[in-house]
Amino acid sequence: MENKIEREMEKETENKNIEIGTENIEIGTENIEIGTENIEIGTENIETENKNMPDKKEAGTEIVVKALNEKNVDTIIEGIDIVRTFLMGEVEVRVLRGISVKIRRGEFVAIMGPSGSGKTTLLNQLGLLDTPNSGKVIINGADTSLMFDREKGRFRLHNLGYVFQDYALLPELTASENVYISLMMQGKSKAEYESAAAEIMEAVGLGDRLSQLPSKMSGGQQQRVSIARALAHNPIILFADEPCANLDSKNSKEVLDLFKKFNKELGQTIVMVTHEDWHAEYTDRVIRLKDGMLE
Amino acid sequence: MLEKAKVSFFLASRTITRGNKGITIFTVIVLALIFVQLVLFSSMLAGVTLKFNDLMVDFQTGNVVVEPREEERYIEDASALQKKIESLPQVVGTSARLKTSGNFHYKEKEMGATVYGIDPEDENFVTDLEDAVISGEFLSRPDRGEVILGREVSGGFGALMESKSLGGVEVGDTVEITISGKTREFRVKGIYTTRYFMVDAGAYISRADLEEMLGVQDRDFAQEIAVKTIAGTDEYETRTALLSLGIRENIRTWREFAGILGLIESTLGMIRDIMNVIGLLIAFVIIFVVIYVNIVNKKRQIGVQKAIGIEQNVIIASFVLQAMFYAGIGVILGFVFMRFGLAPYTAAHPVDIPLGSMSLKLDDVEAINRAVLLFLASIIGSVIPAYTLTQKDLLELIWGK
Repeated sequence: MENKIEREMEKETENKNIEIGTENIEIGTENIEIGTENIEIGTENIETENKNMPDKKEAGTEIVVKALNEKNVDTIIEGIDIVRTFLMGEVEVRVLRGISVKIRRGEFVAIMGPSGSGKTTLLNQLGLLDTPNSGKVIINGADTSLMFDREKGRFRLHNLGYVFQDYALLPELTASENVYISLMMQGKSKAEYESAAAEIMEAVGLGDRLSQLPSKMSGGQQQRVSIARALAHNPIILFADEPCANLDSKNSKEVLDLFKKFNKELGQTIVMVTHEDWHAEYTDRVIRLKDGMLE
Repeated sequence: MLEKAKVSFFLASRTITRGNKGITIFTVIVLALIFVQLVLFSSMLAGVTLKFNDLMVDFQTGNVVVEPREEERYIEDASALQKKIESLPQVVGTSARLKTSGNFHYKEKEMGATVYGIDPEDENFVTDLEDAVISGEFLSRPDRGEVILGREVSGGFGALMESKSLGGVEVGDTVEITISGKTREFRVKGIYTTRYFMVDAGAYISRADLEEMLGVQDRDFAQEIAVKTIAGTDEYETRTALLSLGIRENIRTWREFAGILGLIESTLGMIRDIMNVIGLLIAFVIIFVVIYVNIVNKKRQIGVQKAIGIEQNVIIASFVLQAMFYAGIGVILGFVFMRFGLAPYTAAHPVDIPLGSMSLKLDDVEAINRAVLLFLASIIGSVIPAYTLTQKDLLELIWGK
C-alpha cells in the first residue's frame, strides 16, 4: 500500500519535472549521448537538477527512505522491494529482505550497518553488479530489471563507476591505462581518452604517476587511481564498496576528501558502503541496514 | 567493432609484455615442446622411411631391376641385355647378378644367407657396396674363391643378430659355402656393413664362382639386372624407356621390388598418422590445461573488466590473442629448433637404430600443417575456458561468491 502511494507521488513528481523549464539542458547532454532506452526521462530529470536539488543535509544525517517522496525530488536510483537470497550449501540465506531505497541526483549516500547486514549486497544490486531475486532497480529512469546482461554491461560502461575495497586495478596496465580502458571501450579516440585520463589523474593528485604500474604504488595511490578510473567517463553514479577498508586513516581521509570534492564541485552522485562512523560524516545521509532490512 | 578489437589487442599486448614473465616463458616452452613432439615422431618415421629408400637404391636394387620373364628362372644373354639397357642416356650402369641362398660354415657355426654372384666392376656402377666395406677390400674382377660378407653373416662389427652369425669371422679366414649341394671354401676378402640389416645379411662372390656352383657357367645367365640411373630420374619413366627398347623381361622399380620394405613403409605411415592424431589430442589437452590455469588465475581480473563494462567477447578475444601469440612463438621456436638444430645434428650424427642409421627428415609442409593444427588447438583451448569464465556471475568472478 505504502509502495503504491510512493509510486503515485513519484509519478506526480516526474510530471512536475517535465513541466519545469529547460535552463539547464546542457547538463543533460552527456546523458543524451549515452543512448539508454529511457533517455527522455533522464533528460527531463537532469533539466530539473539544479533547480530542484534539495539543500544537502548535514554530513551524517540519516534520512528515512519515505522522506524522499517529497515533491520536486530528482531520484537517480530507486530500488523497489529488493530481495536477494544466496544459497550457502543447501541453506538459503535471505540477505536482502525487500528493501526499497531512493537516492537523489547529486547525493553522497553512505550505506552502513553491522557485518552481514547486506550493505555490499545492496550496493551490488543498485550498481548492477548483481541481479536481485525479486524487486527492481531503476537508474536514471531506466528499469534495469528489463535489461539483458549485455545491456547491463553497456549501461555500466557508460553510466556507472565503481571503486572497490581492494582497488581492483588491472595489474598489467599502468595507472593511466587503467583509467582510460573504459573510455577506449566506449570508442573514444586516443587523444580523447589520453587527455581525459591525464585530466582526472591530475584531479586525484596523481598527474605525475600516469605511467606507473599499480604494483609500484601505495594503497592510497592505487585507490585514487581506482577513483580516477571510476570517474573518467563521467558516470552518473559512483559506487564505492568500503573504499577505505584497506587504507590507514590518512589515506582514508584523502580518498573521502576526493569523494567530497567530486560530489560538491561536480554534483557527482556517490553511494558508498562503509562501517566507519567518521566516514559517514562526509556523506549527505546514511542508509542503515540491519539483518537485510532498512533500520 | 574496430574499437573492440583494439581493446582486445591492447589488453592482450599488455598482459604479454607486462604480465608474469615466468608464465609466458613456461607457456611458450610447453607449446614449443608440443610442436617438437608433433613433428619429431613424424620426422623420425620420415627419416627411417627415407633411409629404407636410400638403402634399397644404393645397396641393393639400384633404381630399376630387370628380372626373368614369367616362368623363366634366368635372364638369358644377360650381357647383350646390359648393353641394350646401357644405351639409354639416363642409365649410369647395370649389374647382372646371380642370386641364390647358401649355407655358410665357419668353425662350429653355421647359418643360411643370400649369396650374390656379381661382376665387381659392373656392381660399382650400380651400388655403393665398395664404400660399405669396413674391413679388407671389395672384390675385383679377377678374384676367384673370395667372398665379401655382410656383418650379420661374419658377426662382430656391431652385428645386430650376433648370435645367429658365424660368430666373428675376420678378413683372411676361410668359410665354407654350400650351394645347391656343392660345398666350396672361400677366403674372406672383405666385410661390409650398410647398417641395413637386410643387406648386411648377405654375401658377394664373383659371378663366375656362382655360375660354377649353380652349374650354369659360360651361359651368360643372370637372375636380375640392377639398373642405376642419373639422380632425379623418375623410375617409372625409366621403366617405360626400357619397355620401349623391346625388353620382354619383368621390369620393376625399386619401390615395387621393396616388397616387405614397402609394407613396412606403409605400416610406418599408418602408425605415423595414428600417432599424429594421438599427439594432437595430447597437445590439445596440454594446451587447454596450461591456458585454462592461466585464465583461471585471472578470474578476478575478468570480473573487474566485466564490472567496468568491458564486453565479454572483448575479454575472450584478448585471451585468444594471447594464446595465439604463445602458440605462434612456440611454433616458431619449435620449428627453428627442429630445422636448424635437431635435423642438421642428426644428419651430421645419424642415430643408430636396429634398421640402420637414421637422421630426422623434417617435411616443411607437414610442419606447417602441425603448426596450423597447434594454432587451432590453442584457439579452442583458450576460447573454452575464457568463455566459461566470462559467463559466470560478476560476484563469483570478483569475490568468488
